[in-house]
Amino acid sequence: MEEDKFALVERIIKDIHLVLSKIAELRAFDIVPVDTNIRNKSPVLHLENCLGLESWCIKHVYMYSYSEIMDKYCTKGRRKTFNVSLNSERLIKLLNVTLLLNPELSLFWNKRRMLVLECLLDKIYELHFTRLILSRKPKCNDAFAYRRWLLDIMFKDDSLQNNNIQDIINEELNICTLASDKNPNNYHSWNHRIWFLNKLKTLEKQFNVHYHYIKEYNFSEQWVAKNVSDYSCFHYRQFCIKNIYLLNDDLWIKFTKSVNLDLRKTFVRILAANFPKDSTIQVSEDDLLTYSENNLVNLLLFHSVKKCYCILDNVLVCRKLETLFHELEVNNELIRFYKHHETLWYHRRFIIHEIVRIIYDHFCLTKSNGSLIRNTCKKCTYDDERQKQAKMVRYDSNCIYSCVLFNVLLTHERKFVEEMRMNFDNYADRHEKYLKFVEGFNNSSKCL
Amino acid sequence: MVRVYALGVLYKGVNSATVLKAAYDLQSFSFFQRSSVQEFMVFVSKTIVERTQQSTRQSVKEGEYMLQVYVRADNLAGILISDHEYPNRVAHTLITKILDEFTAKVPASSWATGNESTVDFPVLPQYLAKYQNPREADALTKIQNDLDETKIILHDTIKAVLERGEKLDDLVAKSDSLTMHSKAFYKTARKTNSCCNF
Repeated sequence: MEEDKFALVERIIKDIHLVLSKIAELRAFDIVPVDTNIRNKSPVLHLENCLGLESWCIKHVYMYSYSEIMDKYCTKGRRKTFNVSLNSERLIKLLNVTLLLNPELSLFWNKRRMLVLECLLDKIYELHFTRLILSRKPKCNDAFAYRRWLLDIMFKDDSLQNNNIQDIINEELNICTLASDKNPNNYHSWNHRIWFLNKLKTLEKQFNVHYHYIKEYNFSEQWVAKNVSDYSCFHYRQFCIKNIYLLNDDLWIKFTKSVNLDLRKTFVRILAANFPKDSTIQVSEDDLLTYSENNLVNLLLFHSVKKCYCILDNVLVCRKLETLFHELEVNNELIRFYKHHETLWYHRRFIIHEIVRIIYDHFCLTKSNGSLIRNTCKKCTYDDERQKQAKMVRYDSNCIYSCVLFNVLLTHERKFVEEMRMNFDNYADRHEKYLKFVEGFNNSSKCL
Repeated sequence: MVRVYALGVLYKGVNSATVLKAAYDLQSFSFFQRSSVQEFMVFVSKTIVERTQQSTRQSVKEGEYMLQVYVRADNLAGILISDHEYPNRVAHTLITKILDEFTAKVPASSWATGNESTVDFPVLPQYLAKYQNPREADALTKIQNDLDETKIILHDTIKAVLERGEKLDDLVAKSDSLTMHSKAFYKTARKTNSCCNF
């Protein structure tokens, strides 16, 4: 009886191996729930580029192959004398089967790493194999980690051609998209995507990663609009926004064209609608559109109080603000449409925080332990004559709370919170508290 | 993920409900599960429609899915299966719209005897694709505010909809419309869903 079972398991392993020989075409693997072997047929299914295994045989196959690997290939004492190449084919077969059934086995993934290093396993085959694993378990961190390890090696290889890199990029982003689609809140896939883009940055000599920043920015905008309670993808969105800051002039123009929206117009519209009423600013929306970046930033933030003579990049500040105010506008719409989604409000916190940080940076201030301290200039490390890191007196911080941008933001947020409160969104109150206690939006009332 | 999995028009007969037309989007399920998932969607749609009073709207939450159902006074019923991020209000407006169109296109006399192959109403797949983005449908919701007339009854689980003493497990076991394969699939799904997923 036992012998019969073993023969059957051997046969199943062989069948799976046969299907896996065409791994480049395989799209998905899954276990098909079937209680008993009633039809007396092979439980290995191969249909339309999908590999399936009937559930009744899982236990036997897994126990058999797992224990064989553990007994024969993982014994400590014999490791030194053991000749991998002799049995490598058998080991690969068993590893394939075991990892397909249970991919959360770091030890076995390490075995594969060993085989790759000894050139007994092909790297491309391995990329295909992990894709198959991820089709069933899109949250498998071991598989993602293994991919990172493989890509690291492949990118180090100088013989890698440029168009090959393009293929790898497409494939990798595609896999991340599929994994994120299959499982909401998939931290691992988004994290992998961030790692991958950062990795591309280090290869910059061969191609321009900034094009991908634009592409990913637009991709993430569509994605977050459809996944309103998935903070993992919002985190990725934040990563994309920060990448946009790095674009140079040419690419910025390309970027503004690709978003199909006049970012400056959105920005100016929000500004004009929220200018402080009592102040002397008498600029219409149309006038603002004609302002140069430099003038606009000067209007919003006054002239800098810097003591050194480094030139401030007002164009960059303006671009950052345009991007962030566009994001704020998108966030407004999402919150209005999908009510009561905490994630959207958390993303809003990020946007507000980024804008406030721009104001702080402009006045060379940072927040530390809840109190403001003066920073040294980042470029020339000019040291303030006053004692470094001395606590600011309220008078000094007034420049923040009285600047136009801060007040515009304050008015805009107050209006929005009020609107959402009318819609019975409880998160609105929490957002107000956040603004008050974390971003210091209450201080302003004293200066107005 | 905001997503619609199925749209269907059913007729609530005296004893049981029949599917007049339906469209499914099962791309997100694995290849081997698709047929079972579809059978289940049909099974659950029928079960719910049979247990919904005339001229009521219900939204039933089950696991990660949301089932929206509206049975009209004339026994025509619409069903929409989505995840819970799909706004209820939009879903119900969409159902109303589809039922209105269905009434205009298919004569009421053929409802009681019709089935999926005899009824000619080919627009469902199109709607299914279009309203994957609920904001497309929002324009439509703004015009149609008469939805408020019938209140949407919300249920947290499918158990709340079943009649007293009924159990979903028993209904599945008794059903003839589900294949052996789908029943095995149901059992496994039950087991895997019972423990938490990280």
